[in-house]
Amino acid sequence: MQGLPNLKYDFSTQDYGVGTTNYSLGTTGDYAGTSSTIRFNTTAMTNASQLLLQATAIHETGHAYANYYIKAGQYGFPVDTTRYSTWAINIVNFESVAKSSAQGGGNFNDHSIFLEEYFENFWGILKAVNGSIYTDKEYQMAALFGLNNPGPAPQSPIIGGVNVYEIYKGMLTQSFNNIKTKYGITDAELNTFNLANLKNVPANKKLPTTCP
Amino acid sequence: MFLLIKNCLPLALNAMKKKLFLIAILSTIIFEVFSQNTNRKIYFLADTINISKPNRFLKIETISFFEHHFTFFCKCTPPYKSYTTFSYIDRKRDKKAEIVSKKPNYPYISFKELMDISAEHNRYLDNSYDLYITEVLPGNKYRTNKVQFVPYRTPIDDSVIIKEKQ
Repeated sequence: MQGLPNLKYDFSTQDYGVGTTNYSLGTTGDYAGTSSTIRFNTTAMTNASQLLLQATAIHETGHAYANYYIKAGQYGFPVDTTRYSTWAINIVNFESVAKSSAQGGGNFNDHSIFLEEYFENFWGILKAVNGSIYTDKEYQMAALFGLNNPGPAPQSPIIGGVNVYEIYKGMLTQSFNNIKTKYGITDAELNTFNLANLKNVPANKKLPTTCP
Repeated sequence: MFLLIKNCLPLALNAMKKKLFLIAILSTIIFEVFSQNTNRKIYFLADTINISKPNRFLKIETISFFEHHFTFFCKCTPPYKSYTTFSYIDRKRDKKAEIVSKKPNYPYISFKELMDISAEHNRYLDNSYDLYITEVLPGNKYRTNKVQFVPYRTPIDDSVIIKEKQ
């Protein structure tokens, strides 16, 4: 199969600490075949730090590509890494993938993948973009944003008497904790970092309000 | 930055393959468990040719290369956030549905019946029914394909809960 997915980048109103302790930066949805729409939180655009917004761009694009790979596999045309690009993954034999994985999937699948196989590159991209403006630990904490969030349970998480969602959640938490341990990040540090990058962020750390 | 992402992100995602494959296997098992061979065949006539545009209750379109959607303008299936949609996949190597000049003599169900069945079974409709949609084509031609229910996919929301006081 040739062609890349159509990814649309847009904005929408999402939670941002008003009447909630939940701070959302982005969402990926409106799936149509291989394509999807990424929406940044409008409030976050003017309040969150540039660093977290950069992390969001990478993070949500990752979700969109995960959907693309799965759909391409379902179509029986796994992305041919040797022919079309050097980057795409070659998912074998996804033709028989039932709707259930694509539909029941979501954060708990994707985040687990991001944490286990993508995390080094994730914060590496942030560092490549920003150089020495931030510390490595800041890049790592930005990349961790929301990765322990399993998302809502699918409609029918019980398979053969086993709650598959709970299993995924446990795996996700374990992966998240492993990364924190690896980089010496505590929960308190992460909370302080998130707070400083979501609320009362200094103007010089936010997106500019005027075009340069 | 986006250029950098374009170059780096996919490289990084290469490693997803193994995990996604596991998901595929799990999904296949789930699918097999729920699959049955005793499905009842039902038929629906999708006519967008002879219905004026403002009165059409469905649209037929090709999305993403090979996937064809029949989208009914009714949020009739849980969680009632998207239109009820059925699809079939048609690739070059697939056997094509025959285009015929006479309306096939199937016992077509009504729109009401289709929505009732969809509302009751929604994402598990394909476990109980084999739904065939006969599409009315220009020039009094007809094409029938077996379709599958397209379940709603919850958008992925990425957020954190933070403690304001530590």
